[in-house]
Amino acid sequence: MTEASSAAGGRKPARWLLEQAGLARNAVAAAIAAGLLDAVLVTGQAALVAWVIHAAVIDGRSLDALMPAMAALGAVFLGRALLTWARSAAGARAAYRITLAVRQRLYRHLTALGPVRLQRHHSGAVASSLVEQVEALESYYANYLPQMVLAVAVPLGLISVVLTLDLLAGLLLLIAAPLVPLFMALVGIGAERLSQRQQQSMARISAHFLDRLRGLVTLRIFRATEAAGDAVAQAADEYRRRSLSVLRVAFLSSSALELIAAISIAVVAIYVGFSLLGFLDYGPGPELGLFAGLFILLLAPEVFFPLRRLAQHYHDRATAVGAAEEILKVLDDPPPASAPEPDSAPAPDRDAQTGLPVPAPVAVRYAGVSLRFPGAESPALAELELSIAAGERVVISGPSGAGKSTLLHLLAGFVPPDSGRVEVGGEPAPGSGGVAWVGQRPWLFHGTVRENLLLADPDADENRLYAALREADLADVVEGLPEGLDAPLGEDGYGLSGGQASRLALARALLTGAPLLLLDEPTAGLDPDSRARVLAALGRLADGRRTVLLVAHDREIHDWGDRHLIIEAGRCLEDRRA
Amino acid sequence: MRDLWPFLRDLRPEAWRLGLGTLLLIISLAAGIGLLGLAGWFIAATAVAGITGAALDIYRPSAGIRFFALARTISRYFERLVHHDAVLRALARLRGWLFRVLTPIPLERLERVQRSDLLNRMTADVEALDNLYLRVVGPSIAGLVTLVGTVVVLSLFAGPAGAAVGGVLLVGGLLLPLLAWRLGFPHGEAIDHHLPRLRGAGVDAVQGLAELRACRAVGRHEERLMAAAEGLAAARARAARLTGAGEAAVGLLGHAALWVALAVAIPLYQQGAISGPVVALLALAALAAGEALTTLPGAWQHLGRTRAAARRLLEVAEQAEPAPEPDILPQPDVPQALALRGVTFRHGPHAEPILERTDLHVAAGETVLVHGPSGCGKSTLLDLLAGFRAPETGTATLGAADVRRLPEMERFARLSYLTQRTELFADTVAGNLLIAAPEADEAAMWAALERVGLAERVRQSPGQLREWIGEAGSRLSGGEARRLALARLVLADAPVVLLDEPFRGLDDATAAAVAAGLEPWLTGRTALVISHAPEAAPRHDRRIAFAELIRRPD
Repeated sequence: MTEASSAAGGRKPARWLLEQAGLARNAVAAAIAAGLLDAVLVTGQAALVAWVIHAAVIDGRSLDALMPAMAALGAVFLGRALLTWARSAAGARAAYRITLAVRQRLYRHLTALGPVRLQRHHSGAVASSLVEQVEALESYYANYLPQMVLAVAVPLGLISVVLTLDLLAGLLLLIAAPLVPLFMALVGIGAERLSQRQQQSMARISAHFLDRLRGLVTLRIFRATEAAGDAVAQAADEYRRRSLSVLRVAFLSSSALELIAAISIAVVAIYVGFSLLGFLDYGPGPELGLFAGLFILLLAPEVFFPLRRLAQHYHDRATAVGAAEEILKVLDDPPPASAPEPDSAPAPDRDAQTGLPVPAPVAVRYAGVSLRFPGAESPALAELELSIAAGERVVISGPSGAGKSTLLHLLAGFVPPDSGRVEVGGEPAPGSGGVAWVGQRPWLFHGTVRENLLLADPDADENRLYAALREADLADVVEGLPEGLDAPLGEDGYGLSGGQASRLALARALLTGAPLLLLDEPTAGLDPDSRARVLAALGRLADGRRTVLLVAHDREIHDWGDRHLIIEAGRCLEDRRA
Repeated sequence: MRDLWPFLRDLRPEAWRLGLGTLLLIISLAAGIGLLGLAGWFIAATAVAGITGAALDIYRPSAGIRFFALARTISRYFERLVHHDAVLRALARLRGWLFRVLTPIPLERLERVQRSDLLNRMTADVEALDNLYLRVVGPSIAGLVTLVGTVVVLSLFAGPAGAAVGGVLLVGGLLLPLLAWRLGFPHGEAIDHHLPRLRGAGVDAVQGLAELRACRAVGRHEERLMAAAEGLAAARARAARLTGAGEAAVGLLGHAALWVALAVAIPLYQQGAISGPVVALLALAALAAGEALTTLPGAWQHLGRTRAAARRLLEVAEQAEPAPEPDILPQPDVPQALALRGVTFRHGPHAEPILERTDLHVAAGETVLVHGPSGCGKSTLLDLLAGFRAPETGTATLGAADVRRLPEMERFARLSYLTQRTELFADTVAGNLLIAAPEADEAAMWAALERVGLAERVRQSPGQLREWIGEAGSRLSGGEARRLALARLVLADAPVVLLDEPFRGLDDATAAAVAAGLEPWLTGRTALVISHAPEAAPRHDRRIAFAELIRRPD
């Protein structure tokens, strides 16, 4: 569904790519300017070389007499080296600015979309659009885009120089040069499709490899590792055979280009030679001279050089367009129109000894709240009226899909209601004090235990962090780790068990100082012992200073709070007080 | 360079293809030099002849020019094909090799590899090695040979002038790639440092967005993400500028050769040592020879990252467990007793022990159920008996043999294991079954499916046994996937079986039907079954609560 909607309202990736170049207009222009200036120096270089050889061979001048020209030649060489460097530096600058700006925009967009809306996208694809897809834009701005301009301007400029020297040689190049993009387009269209197919089969073979690696334990149990190893190699070889048939055609496109360049040089050389011998009596032939002849010969390969460079970077465009498609899938999804939350909450009162925040609980009110998710048949919530007093501990249960989690999402400000008001402490949700959130599978951020806690309270000292960990029944675990608070967590670090991760999330919730604590199935999938420890820690947090809403499936924790709500089909079915 | 050596050695079977490719590349480079050099000579010679009126053979040179123009293009085309063919062959073998070296790594390590993005990185690393093959090895050899050849030929024509030109090119041609390699090193390392940080921050932003929003840490996380992004972009920009500098230096080198050619050849011409057209030949050939080097600095610059990729692959390979000293092999095809004797196990040196001095005995031919709440470490019991994990103290035995000292091929010929996680492959139903028994015929497959109550479902699918089940069995429901894994185990037909929650994801009625189907099959086999509840398990002779196993009182 997302794909259809983004395709309908979506922007064209190729156009979007061009528009982003405006983010680094100066750098792109500098890269083009360096390329144009280099073409001027190329002309100078060809003229100087041809003149030096002419002066030495025809006029018989000595090296000493030619020294000024030789010195000028040296200067041109240095200038060209400098311009080559400058062009790549300017291209790199453009890529630098644009990738950073796009990354930042993507990040801000996806955080504005919020965790609920983001579920409509494949999480892996969103993360990869932020990292890999933006990477894929680099070469487009650094190389392809400036070269696009240069591949048109430079050959035309150089050919017009040749035209002033010799009409026929110039015309020859004028005919040959446009043949190059023509051929490239002809073969290139086919090649692009073929290369897409090749990329797909590359992706398939990588997927096959990954698939077999993921099932390695099973393969070991069934003693099938040798056979699977052979199959992996065989699939890769099958890929080789298929991609070779693609490459046979794809290489034709660059070969056509090289052939036209080589033949043009050959024809120009033979034509110039025959003219110099006086064999040709049309055109400016006889009076051409060695200088002009060599000049033209030296310019001929330079006419084709920018086109060859463009061909080298031609696939950068296809890659960038593919990446832009993925990026636009996220950017074209409009974020919900909720008010942006301030990034800091008012400073809470703190416990003198531990430094932990001591919030004042808030009341919560849903006033005629309705919400329907796009594409859903029935509303998630319908005209809901519900008030929760400050400091109340409420357990919410009901069948899956009943709208339990949506109640929490509204309070956290992750989704706005279609109609009605959601109030936290008399203010629109999530309120100025903010909310603390403990989800079903609390996310451990890449980094240390300390970094995971500081996320909630960047100013906390060691004393305060340990106080929070003690309340969450996690201090022993952290003290037991060799690096203590600095132990790395996540994929490359220590894995915490499900219960420990939930308790870490509770410690985080404690540190935020938010007066409203929202928990979405914090004990799902935990064994009874872990569940008991999480609930005990939660009990310490819900000490009357926080209003608590707990969504739970487990029958055993339904009696935990002061009040039990049963939600079904977006309505409150039962409201029971303990 | 030592890290790259095994991969270079790996190229040996492709030696003749790579040799042919390099030869074609040399022909193409030489033809390019010949084309421009001969064209320069021809124009100068015709100009001189036009003035002096001397006779000049124009047909051979112009045929030569045409020949070089065609030779350059055609050899380049075939060079690309041959080189890519050789490299893809080498990469195919490399994948097979990598797969085989990964198979014996210990389970803890394997789980870590599977959890992290190491797998993705590894496949990228394999693909990164084509830089080594395609862009470094072949072009370097071809560049060197072409330059030496050019020096020899130019020396024949122009004596010391040719040698001078060649000297400039050779020294530069050796120095520039090495310099690019050294200078490119820190950039590659910086990229490899920032990229995982950015990826981590990106995954955090997506997966941890609820936490970020609730903690009001969206802005602070942005700083973190953008710091990594900035580091990466800056490193990439530095690397790009270095590539530009390399390009500029190679260009300058070719130009320097041209300058030297003119400076040396003009006096020689005036002394009458060489003819006028040879001056033009020398100058233009020198200019063209510089082109043989154009791609080298860029390729060598990235060698550092290629090497890092190679090192990562080798590091993983080094974690392979050595094959055990084989114990006395128990007889195959006969059910053996399973036992744990005084086994203590914990996941890490700082973790709570999951088992402490645990004893467990399953007699030959007996079915025993161990039950207990989920998440308490029951699966570890089976991992120990399967020899996937090493106990801290004590032994796990199959018959009279220590399972850890049975080579895997022998161990799993006698014992089979349905793991907690259902691991199916992106393949057909038959493809998944045949992993357990490559020789099994269709009748045997249907019989196994029948036993787990899946035959009807497969028969109704359009492809039947050839039905594609999707990535990790995604086209099957959880219960169907579980039963397919069970059918695979049945097909393996081992006399000893370990079953971890065999009926996970099955509703009660299906579970009962599958239990009935399995009962005759389990009879006569040694089986250890674990389950969260005694009801969700096949018929058994004896049951033990996991809690009773955990700690033996002193």
